[in-house]
Amino acid sequence: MRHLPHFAALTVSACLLAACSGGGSTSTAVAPQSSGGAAAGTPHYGGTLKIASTSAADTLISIYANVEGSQNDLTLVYDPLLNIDPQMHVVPWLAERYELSNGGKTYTMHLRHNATWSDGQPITSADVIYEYQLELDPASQAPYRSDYDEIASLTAPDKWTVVYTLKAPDAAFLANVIAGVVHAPLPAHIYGKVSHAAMRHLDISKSFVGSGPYIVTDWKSDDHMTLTSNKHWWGGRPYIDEVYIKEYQDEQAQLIALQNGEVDMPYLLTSPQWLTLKDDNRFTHIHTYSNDFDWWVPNLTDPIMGDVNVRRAMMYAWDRKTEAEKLFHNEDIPVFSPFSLAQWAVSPAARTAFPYDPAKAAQILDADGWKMGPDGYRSKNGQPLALTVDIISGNQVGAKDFEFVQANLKAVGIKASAKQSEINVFYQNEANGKFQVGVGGEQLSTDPEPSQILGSKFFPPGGLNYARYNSPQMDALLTAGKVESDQNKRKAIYYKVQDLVIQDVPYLWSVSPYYRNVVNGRIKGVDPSQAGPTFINTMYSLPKWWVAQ
Amino acid sequence: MSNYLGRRLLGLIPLMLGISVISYAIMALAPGGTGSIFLHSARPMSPADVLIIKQQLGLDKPWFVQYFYWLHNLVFNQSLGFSFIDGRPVMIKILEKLPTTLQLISLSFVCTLTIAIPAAIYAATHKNSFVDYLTTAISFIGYGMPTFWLGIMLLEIFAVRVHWFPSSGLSSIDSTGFNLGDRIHHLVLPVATLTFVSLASWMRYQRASMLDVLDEDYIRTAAAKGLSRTTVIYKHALRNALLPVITLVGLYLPALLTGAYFTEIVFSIPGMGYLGLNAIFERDYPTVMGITLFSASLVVLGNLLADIGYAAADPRIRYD
Repeated sequence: MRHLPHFAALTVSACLLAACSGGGSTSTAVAPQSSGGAAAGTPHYGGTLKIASTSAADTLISIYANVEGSQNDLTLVYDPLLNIDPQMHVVPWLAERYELSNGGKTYTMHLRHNATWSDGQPITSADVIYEYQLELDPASQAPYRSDYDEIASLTAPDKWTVVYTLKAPDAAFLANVIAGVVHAPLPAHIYGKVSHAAMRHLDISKSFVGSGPYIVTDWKSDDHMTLTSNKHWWGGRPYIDEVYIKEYQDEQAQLIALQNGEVDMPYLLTSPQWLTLKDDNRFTHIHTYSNDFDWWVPNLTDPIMGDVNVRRAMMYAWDRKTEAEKLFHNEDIPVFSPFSLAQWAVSPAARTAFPYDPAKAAQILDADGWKMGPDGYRSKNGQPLALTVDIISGNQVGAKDFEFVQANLKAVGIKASAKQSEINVFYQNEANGKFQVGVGGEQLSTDPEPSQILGSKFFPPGGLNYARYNSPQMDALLTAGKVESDQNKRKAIYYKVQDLVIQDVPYLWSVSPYYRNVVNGRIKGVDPSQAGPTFINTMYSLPKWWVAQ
Repeated sequence: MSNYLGRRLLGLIPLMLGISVISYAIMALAPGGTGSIFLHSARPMSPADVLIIKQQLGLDKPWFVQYFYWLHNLVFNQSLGFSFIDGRPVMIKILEKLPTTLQLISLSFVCTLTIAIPAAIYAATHKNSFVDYLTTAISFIGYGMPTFWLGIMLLEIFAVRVHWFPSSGLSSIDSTGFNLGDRIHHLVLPVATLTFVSLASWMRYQRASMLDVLDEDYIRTAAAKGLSRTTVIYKHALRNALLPVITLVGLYLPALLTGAYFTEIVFSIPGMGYLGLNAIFERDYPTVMGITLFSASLVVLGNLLADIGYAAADPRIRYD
């Protein structure tokens, strides 16, 4: 979820606030804390997996799957050309192989000949082309249309081949665009005659045709979705015959349903839910790094927040370790860069930067001319070192977290005052630059490429660089990282990006929550070490799960 | 009477128009705009994509132009439009949820009256007795208890601890098709929640009304004539004591709707409450407008029915 602190999920309606899975992330699972449902017994067909959702799916057409619930559910019924495995590698899926050529600008995908739609029709290049053209048409109201901006052309030399030619090399293209369910092929033989404008309003709940391991057989909006195994799936018939996804509007009700065995697993667990269930041996426990993190977004055009020494001092004054322990029961870990701790690109320097050191913070401020006054706050040339921090109203945990950091800052002479804003007002102010500091959250995309938040071309309203960070050196590194296809060389570039992030402190990084989940022990074949940082990654191996007899 | 009805029904047109204009204006002029339509994306949408979708939805136009399009669509196409969030027709979304909410409201209403009226009569006819104090205490507890809190408490006790009732929804995951027993099992806790918080005001109103009537001369006369206590209370007093309560039926509908909305959220019941709450958070104008119109219509009709019922119950009242 864009820009919403993850802890907001604890206090506001779940329909707004569940943490998200935007097509996965680049990360690796850490060792599971426990495993109650061992992969024991012999796999067999049959049974129902019952999933609790707190984010309702709002569409059955994949190009409109922009909310968490839709992405989670439709991942089980639509296959993209490529996929992301639990180790966060891009792997062949509907395309059985692909080649890169033309200096990194051309991707040639070869589709499986045995892949069919659930109505038996073959999945061909025409379906890929149809989906692409549908998204490009503004009338279709596709939410991620601009993902295709970097495509110069898409052609289909034959029934089983598609060729993407990019305007410039982009190493993140496969992971961030092609491997996402929102860009999965759609059945041209069914929707080809429907106008693009009408697609947004099309009801396909009674005649669903998909390409994934399951197909939708029943959907009642805001209540439940029933999926039945697709016996014609190219990957082989899944063991579990039915997946029933039940919508819960309340996190407490979801927890009760889990405890009572009414459902087998949720999309994810909030920190309090996890603390309740983590020692319950009826469940298999999943506990990995996530790709969500919280941060304070400074407006660098503001005279105070534009001072890098103030930002550095704030980072040293911030006691993240105690914050994680006291406020988040160690279910969050401190972060110092926009790269997830689980991502291949995170540097050793970014794991340990900015230890809690209030003396050093005071020293930096002293050297920068911010003198301590008799009231315990600093000022320079008559200007007090005072910050107004925007917080989304109603977020009680966020407010408590602010109070904690506020006390940290006060200890070094920085005065921070909270300003509660309604959620829409908060985002509008951030987009318009009418803020000094905003408390938010962010989720990394599958590939660690961070141009959207660090690139100078991505200031609002055209992008997500809300801090208005502008560094030619950073831009050059981001460009180099984007065009480089060799992962080791990219890693070296992103290490330099992180060095620069630590030097310039364009954002005030806070903490990252773990991805937490449980699966009822009656579901077998669940290997926590193969769970990814999101529900989607965790469900990668669902076709191989089975229900205990 | 028919003239009166005709005038009242005609009067509903400007009333509903006024409600719709004010609702749309409040919604559209609220700070923050329609940004949250796009905030729920799992992955941030590009501002360019947001702009295109806003243009397609007409959100780049002033609010009164948007309202005009909405009204035009309603009057000439008899359509409440399409949800900004999922693109589905608002009418279908409401009709999907309405039966659930009506079921909850009507069941709880029946339960409320079934309990409140006899209890209030007993309390009024046994003033200052233990039962009177008990019903008064229950009333005040009910007044002071938030619907959602009571719902969570009932869930905790009867669903989590003793497992007597399911925690959520209207049907078991394992049940196939409609199953009356299963439905009743699921409805016990939400109906009990809504009934208990409604019970309070009904008992107070009915008790007060009954006490007023019992003080009237004609009641004393009836008793002096030698009529039995049962006849005096149930034939003479009760009928008159019900008159103000009939009015309350219409006036109480908004509170009942609100209570039902909260109850639906707590018990994960997919009704109008859940639909409305999400629509408000997401600034889904067409859905909010649809629910507002529906709720307003129910309240206005409730008032009208109360007036008609009042006339039917009291021969002294005539509308000309």
